[in-house]
Amino acid sequence: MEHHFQRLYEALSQVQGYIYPNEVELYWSVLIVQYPYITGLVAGAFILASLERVFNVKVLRPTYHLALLTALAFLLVAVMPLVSHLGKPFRAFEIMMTPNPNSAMAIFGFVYIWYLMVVLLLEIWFDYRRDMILWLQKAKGLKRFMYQVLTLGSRDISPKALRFDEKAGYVITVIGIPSAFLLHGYVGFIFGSIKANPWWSTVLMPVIFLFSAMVSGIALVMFLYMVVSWIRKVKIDIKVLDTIGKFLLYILIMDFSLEALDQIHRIYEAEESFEILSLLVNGKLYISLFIFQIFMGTIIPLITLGVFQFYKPAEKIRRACYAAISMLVLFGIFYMRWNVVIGGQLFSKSFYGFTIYKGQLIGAEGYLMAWFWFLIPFAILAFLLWLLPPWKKVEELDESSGKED
Amino acid sequence: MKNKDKKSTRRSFLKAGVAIAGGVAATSLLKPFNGVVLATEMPEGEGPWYGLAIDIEKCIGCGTCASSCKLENPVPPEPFYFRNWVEQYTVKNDGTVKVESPNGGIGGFKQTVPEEEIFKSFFVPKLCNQCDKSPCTQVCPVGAAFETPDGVNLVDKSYCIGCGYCIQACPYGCRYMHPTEHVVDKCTLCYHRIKEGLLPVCFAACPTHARIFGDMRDPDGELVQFIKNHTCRLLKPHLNTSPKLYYNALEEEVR
Amino acid sequence: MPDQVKRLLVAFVFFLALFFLLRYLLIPASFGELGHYRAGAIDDEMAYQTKHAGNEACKKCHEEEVEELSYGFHAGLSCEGCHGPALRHASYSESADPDNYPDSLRLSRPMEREHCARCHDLNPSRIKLSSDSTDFSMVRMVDVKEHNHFIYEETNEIIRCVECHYSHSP
Repeated sequence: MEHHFQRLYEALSQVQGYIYPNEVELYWSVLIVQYPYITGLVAGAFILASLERVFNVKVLRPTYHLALLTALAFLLVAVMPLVSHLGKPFRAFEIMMTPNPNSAMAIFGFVYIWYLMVVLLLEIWFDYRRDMILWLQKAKGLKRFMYQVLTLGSRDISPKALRFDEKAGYVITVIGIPSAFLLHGYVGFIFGSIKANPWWSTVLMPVIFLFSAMVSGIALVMFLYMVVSWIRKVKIDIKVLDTIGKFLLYILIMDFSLEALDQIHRIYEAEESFEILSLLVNGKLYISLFIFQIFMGTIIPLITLGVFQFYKPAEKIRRACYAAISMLVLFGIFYMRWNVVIGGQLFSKSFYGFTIYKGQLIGAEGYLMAWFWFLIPFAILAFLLWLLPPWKKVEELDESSGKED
Repeated sequence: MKNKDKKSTRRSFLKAGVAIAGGVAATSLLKPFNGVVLATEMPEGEGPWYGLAIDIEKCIGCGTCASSCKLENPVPPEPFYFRNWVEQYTVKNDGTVKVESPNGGIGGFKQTVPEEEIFKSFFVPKLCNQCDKSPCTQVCPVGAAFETPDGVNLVDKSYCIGCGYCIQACPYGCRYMHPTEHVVDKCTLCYHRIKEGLLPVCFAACPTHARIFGDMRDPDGELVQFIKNHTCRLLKPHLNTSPKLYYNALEEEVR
Repeated sequence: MPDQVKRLLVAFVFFLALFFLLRYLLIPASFGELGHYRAGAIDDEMAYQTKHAGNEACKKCHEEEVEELSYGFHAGLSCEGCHGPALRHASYSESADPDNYPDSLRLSRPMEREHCARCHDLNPSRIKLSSDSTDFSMVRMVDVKEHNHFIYEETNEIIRCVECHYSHSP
């Protein structure tokens, strides 16, 4: 406690101008930056998967299951930063028990459960049911036990049953796309609906969150595809990367335009809050906004991907570029969330001054904790890839059994 | 058959149109547009509906309201947690505004700007505005922030999950996370006192009677009479939070 | 209905049943009685004990001082505004011998110049007032640091406001 107050006294000595006395402490820390970031990765990865399935982009087949499993791995962790940030984490269940119908945050529990149980788990289940039944016969020990539980005892791999799986999976993907939009647009709405905060309160917030989510999710799958291929020592299909890169470019353009529109609108309207926000952007957020988010996370990837549409250098160079771009985009989108969440709390609602945010390394809200919640999904993904390896799925059987009947 | 169908739908459409137009006309006749009463619409019901007013012209910035609140209520003594506080505004001749609130005004103020540079200067006491359309109770995900039937916004400390969403939603900076209880805390308008017929402690302690507490449903009460006889304004009215805290002589610089 | 859907349905029904069971068990008793909140929270708030007693309570033992306070420039002030919350002090006084009064319950008697300065120090933010006004709603101001600046030689301490001005009825 003493340490906590010590930090606040330090912050108080660095306050610029006037802030309300209760505003010295910044309540939503790096963990709340992590929360929209991770949910965004989920939504983005899922949308990339649905590109293959619903929009029939066949080139992306090798990333389809990887994208789905990535989405699941991150979704399982998505609420953890949020829950661990609560003052009373063990009361978190109340949000499901007595959700306030007027609260933008209350519905999150249900949107999350819907997306997890009805969309992702079901889609993966229908997709892997046959394979799990086949693997079950050879598997031993833990793996065998897990397949037994996960198949829910189902053993029917008749062509009729498989055709049903295929159809059900398709329908769920179709439902899943608006659900993914809902999940992340909704996270944007949590911020966009706070009228007290002019940095957050914009109708574009859900849309911006959605597009930046797609950008980050696509970049993540691109990155993971390269890493997983490298670990498995299989050749990276450059056509896959080129196609993902093309989609990444399109969505990055839309994302950038929307964010630019938001800022231009703000600058042109120049409302009451304009002075303090322009001080914020040109001062405390300068590096994280202009350098990290816009230059590194947006401009460099945009230019590189744009050039690749007209001029394609050698495969080796392109591969390296895609690896760099995906990391830059992931880095940039993290700072986009940072600029929204932390930026929105740095200035006083009196519009007369600024507080500061000094993150800690250790502690319940420290950077280590944030890294922990970011790295856990990768461990989960490794486990999922071990349990449900997409490359061991029997692909051809699908079509032949479908034709047989 | 088909034709008849068409006709009947057209007729019912016309009927519906007339009904809507008539309905609009009727409601506008029956219930003329009154604007808003006292900037907020009083809910139906019996018993008191509490409101408050502050006369800025009478505030001398002694900070007794802020200190008595901390002594009465379980508010941490550190200068980062306040249920109420006082701000000193100084508008300089060059048009710049300086706002100060050292330790929330507890212990009084010193004017640091030389007198010849001052255009005008005044104190503004702040506390929870007890908004009728309160954004803080709107956003609480679990129903731990709520408005009592008599119009006081409270926090259920045994139910609050400590997410801090209400802190973000309050435009007036009136909420904070309690450092040891880990739940949100805010002004209760000394609910334990007003229900015993006492004044909230900051109102009782004010030496110049700059704070007026009362029942908005009592037209002859001190509060309603004060609002009637003074030019009162609200804080951040454009946010449409319907505060029940009325300020006399509130200047444009105050946010 | 395909076999796998039946199995899924069983799983879903199980989860839904679990959800409603938890809801039934975990929602507090008085939740929703008055609105979307726990009605008992209002009683919790009312159960909190005030710490201030009010001027009437002071009268029981300090009748003279309260009487003095009721006229003059400081009329209408709250005793506890200067002396601090007095409920424990007052409820103890009722039953105890004032000579053996425990120190922990004694109230403060602020005498230093800074205390008076909170209201009376020169500050352009306060409303200015000519010295002959009798409007009690206004406050007289002096430069508290400079006003009658006299230092006692023996103690090297500055003379206090209360040595000339009787604070209960200045």
